[in-house]
Amino acid sequence: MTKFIAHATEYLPLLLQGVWLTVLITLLALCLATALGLVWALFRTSGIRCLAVPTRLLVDFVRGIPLLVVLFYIYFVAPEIGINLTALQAGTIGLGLAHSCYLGETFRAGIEAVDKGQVEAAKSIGMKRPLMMRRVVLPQAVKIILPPYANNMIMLLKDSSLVSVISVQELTMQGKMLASSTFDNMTVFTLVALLYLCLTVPLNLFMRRAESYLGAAG
Amino acid sequence: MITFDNVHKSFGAHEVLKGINAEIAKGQVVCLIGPSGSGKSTLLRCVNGLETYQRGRISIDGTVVDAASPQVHAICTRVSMVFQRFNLFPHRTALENVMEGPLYVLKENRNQVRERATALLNRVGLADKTNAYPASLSGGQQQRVAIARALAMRPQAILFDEPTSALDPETVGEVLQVMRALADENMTMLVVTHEIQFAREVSDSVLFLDGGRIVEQGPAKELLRHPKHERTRDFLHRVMHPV
Repeated sequence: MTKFIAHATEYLPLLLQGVWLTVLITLLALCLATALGLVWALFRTSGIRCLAVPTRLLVDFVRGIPLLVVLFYIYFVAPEIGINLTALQAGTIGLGLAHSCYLGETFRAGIEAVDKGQVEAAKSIGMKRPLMMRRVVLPQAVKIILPPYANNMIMLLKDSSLVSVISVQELTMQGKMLASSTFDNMTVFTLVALLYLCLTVPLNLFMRRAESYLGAAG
Repeated sequence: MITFDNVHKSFGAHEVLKGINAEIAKGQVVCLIGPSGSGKSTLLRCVNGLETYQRGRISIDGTVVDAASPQVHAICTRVSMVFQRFNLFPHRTALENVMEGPLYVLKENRNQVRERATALLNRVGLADKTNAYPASLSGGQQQRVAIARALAMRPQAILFDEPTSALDPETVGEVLQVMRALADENMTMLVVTHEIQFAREVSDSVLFLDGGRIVEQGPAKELLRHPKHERTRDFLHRVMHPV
């Protein structure tokens, strides 16, 4: 145990550099996924075929491809058509795009779960769709969406480890490099796992508090 | 003010309105009565564009109601609706529910809207419930907030879709009382209801619908006391003597 603690203290600063990048890429990808996911959900529930059908095809298409392949595609294929991205940019876009498709479906389910009577009440006071979404539907959908959204956030955080394959030096990558130079697999990967837990557990607690807060707000 | 001209409406192959002709003058209170599935609520919902109709014409002061047209939102600011299940916004307080339309749709001044919304809640007897969320209000209180929300739009007419059907018998009276007061102030009202006594005492005329057609229409007191049509007689007898 003392040996573990001694090694852990030695490795931790290096691994924390990876944690910083993991947090950064997760936050950026989450912002992108949330924004795009909302767009997909609004398109799919718009009732406008030329928006809904292409969105459904895109979502099905991206969801049908492994995230690793999406990352490889963006990082290695994009330069061939003249789009040069850094590994961090490619990783963020890949993660964000892939998760936007899952989140889009979550948002859509939440929007559709809001009572039809609410939509009718909004229409009956003359609200147009954008205002109705903003003032009536989305605030109510948030409560329904929050638990699966939290789930998605944690999946995204864990999936961020995949960007190590396109050379982003986030937590998993740092761990792998450290392990291969020290051969201390046990300590390094235990630390990596603990650090991921240190990120996911507070996230879980925060979302649970947010849920009960929204629940209490009626 | 509201004119129905040979209105036809179908859900798929099922025709629910089969040529409705009627006219509601400004300041009139008209009750729509009839058995379930006769098309009363559907007719009401066509007036403010919540349902589309396939043939004929519904017009409000000469403006044709077309649910597919972008102008339908403007119609809704002139004709408000009160629903059977209240449909208050659960995430907003009673006051915010009433303020929502004037503030965000009519874009009126916040302080003036707040003042008017408070006065409206006072008018429906809920001055002490301004900050209450709908979940903490009784059915009757919620429906009165819904009426205040409808009034806040300063509508030319209000549509009521079975406003007392989802209420406890004890709270029906308080809602009918508010509606009666509105009728006394000459608000144009189109009311789908099973409250025959209310229809008799408050409404100017009654339309009896069955199977998507107006079977009989006329002055409320006369039609409800001396229905001419056999079907109307049968319906009224069943409603007033259920056992």
